[in-house]
Amino acid sequence: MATQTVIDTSQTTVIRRKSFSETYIGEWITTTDHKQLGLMYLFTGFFFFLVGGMEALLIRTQLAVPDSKVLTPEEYNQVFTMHGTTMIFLFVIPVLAGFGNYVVPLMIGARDMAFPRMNAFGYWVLLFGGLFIQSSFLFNSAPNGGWFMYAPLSELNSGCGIHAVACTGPNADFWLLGTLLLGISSIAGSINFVVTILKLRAPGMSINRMPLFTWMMLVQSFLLLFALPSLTAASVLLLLDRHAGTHFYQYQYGGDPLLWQHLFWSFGHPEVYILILPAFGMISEVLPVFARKPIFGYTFVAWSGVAIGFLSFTVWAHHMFAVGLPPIAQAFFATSTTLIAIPTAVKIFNWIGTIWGGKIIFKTAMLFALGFIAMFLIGGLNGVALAIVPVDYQLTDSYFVIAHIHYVLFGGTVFAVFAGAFYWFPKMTGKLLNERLGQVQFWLMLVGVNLTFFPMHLLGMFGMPRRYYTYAGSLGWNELNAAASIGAFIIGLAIMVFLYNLIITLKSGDKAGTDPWDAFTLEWDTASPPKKYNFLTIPVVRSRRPFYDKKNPDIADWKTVTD
Amino acid sequence: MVSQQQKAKKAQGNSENGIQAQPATPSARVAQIEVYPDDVKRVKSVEATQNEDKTPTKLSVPDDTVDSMSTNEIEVNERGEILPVTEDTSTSNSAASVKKKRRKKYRELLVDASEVSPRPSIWPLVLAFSIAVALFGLIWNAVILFIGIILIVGSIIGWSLEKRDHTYKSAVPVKKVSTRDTNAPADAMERDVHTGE
Repeated sequence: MATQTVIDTSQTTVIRRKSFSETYIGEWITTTDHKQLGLMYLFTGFFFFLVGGMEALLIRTQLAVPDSKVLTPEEYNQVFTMHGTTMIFLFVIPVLAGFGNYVVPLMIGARDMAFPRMNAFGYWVLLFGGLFIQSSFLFNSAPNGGWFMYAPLSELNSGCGIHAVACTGPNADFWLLGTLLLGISSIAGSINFVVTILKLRAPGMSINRMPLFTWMMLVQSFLLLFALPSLTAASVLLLLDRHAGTHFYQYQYGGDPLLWQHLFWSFGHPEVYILILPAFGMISEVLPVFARKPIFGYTFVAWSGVAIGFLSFTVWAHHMFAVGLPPIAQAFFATSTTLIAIPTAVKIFNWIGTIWGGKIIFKTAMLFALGFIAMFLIGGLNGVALAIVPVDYQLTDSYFVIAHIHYVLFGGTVFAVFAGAFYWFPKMTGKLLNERLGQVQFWLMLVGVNLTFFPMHLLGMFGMPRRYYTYAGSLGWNELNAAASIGAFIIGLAIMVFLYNLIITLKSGDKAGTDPWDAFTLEWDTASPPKKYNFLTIPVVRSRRPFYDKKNPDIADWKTVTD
Repeated sequence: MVSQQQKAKKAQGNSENGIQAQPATPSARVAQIEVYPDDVKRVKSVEATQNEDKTPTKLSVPDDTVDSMSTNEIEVNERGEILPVTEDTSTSNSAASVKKKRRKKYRELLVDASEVSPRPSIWPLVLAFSIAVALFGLIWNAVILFIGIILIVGSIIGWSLEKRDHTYKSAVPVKKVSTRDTNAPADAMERDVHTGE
């Protein structure tokens, strides 16, 4: 076998001038190492999480009481647009890419990503794309058309008339060009993940033995590759409408006002699964370790992710029931949307099967994983409700939809991200996050999420539309909005606890050792943090739990378990 | 009569299941994978012999190199997939067929960490920055756009012409496994990718 064994030259003394890439700053700026890039993705993602979180708090402050004037209507439009854009494009995707970058090569026994420079390029494009979009606040031109920037309204600008085709205020341009940049980043990252996972797995790690997080990153990468072109095309057409006088979206000039919606949502709904599938993968890694059992129904968990990926391309128009789709289209999209609940439910049953009868260890990572299951279940079920066309007619563009998306993306993805953070932090830094603070953070977040988003179901059913700047005190929404705002600040407090935990851990946290959780997968078979080359010798894999096998040679999975 | 191909297929199927020990089959290569304790500096070469008709091949390690390492014998099928552990029947197979074997040498390379780690580069950052500048110019000013385009072209050229020197030399002459060699282990190409930059 053409394997390679690494020698450690740390003992060697070399006297020469340091090159730029060997200085502390230079090393981070020029790095192509997947672990450093992963950390940079994570840091950037959490930074934008704070930005998006502050925007959320502004929204909730504005809506806490009726007839509030904390923000102007224009500022409110900008803040809710940037909140959605920041959280989706600048927090969730980068953080998931960060975990993927850090963990996937370690999990599959590789020394780095397949294309390290492209990996670095993807990160830097993301960073500059994020700064590009956020810089719009400096010019008082932040995007203000909502995170899905519906055309033809987004072709206009404040002060422009309905026929002002050449009106070129830059608000929407920042969004369109910024997401174009972020799309380049995502494409670069996705190609890298696909090639890395398909080509750089350790000997013996068949596709049927890959860790489930790796599986979900693979599916997510394919989704990004197939979904993003649609957004890119839509954005270019809108830019041409705005600046070159074309009329792709303007009905009065022969364009189609629904074209944007079709193009956007054929990206936008796979996007929801792009945001949740790696979270599924994280949960599938955390639960078995803290339940001291192998994942229940590995094959079903893996392939249900693939099924979700395929089905996610068939459901986009459930966002458009209210535009007047023909009955056959409504029936199709309602059916496909309901259908996608099946593989999702398969996962949930498998996770329950995994913890059933396990020796559960209630560490913070496990708490977040369990919280994820409960919160995501609520988000999934009210999503199925929205797939029913008559219900959707009543609830579309109401706060019910806001509740749904936040139970999925906050109760789901963010909980999973924190599960992953508590789980892999020791590997990344060699230190254990403080458990007590972690548990305080978890319970605060659980209370905060439910206090914030559960009342939104009721607000939606009581008729409160999304994106309204304010509301009259006589509509019966006051208490529910106040509760939601209090909940939002509790979430903010939970995030502060996490930041405090992060700081004190980095300063004086307990040492983690290489394998603090007695875990199963290969990333724990490295130093904490891993050395640059990851593995001294590329490991050989014989089962789905290679590190467990190594630690327990007598009862190794490859001896006792059928893959 | 069960053909050799059928036997090979059976062995491959069992490797997917990964549960029971199988005797070495004609299509299997037997490899020794060495697991070194951390920080051991060692030069090691392994020699592979391989039959043209794909009879088992033994990758062996010279005695003087195996003193302090744990060894772990595994079978590898034609595609480089790991088969379950076997009884050591390969030694006799290997010895019996050695005369008609075409000898092929693979080396397990002693490499420095810098050789398997990607080289740092400033150009990804520069190119990303250039694209952002160009798009910024698209919104605000044609001059900025022009500067951005110049930067993009410059950074692409810089990236393309970047010197990718290997600061460290391998401790032993490197014989890379040809990726066109159909007898090479299935993951040979992947390993070369690691050092490709």
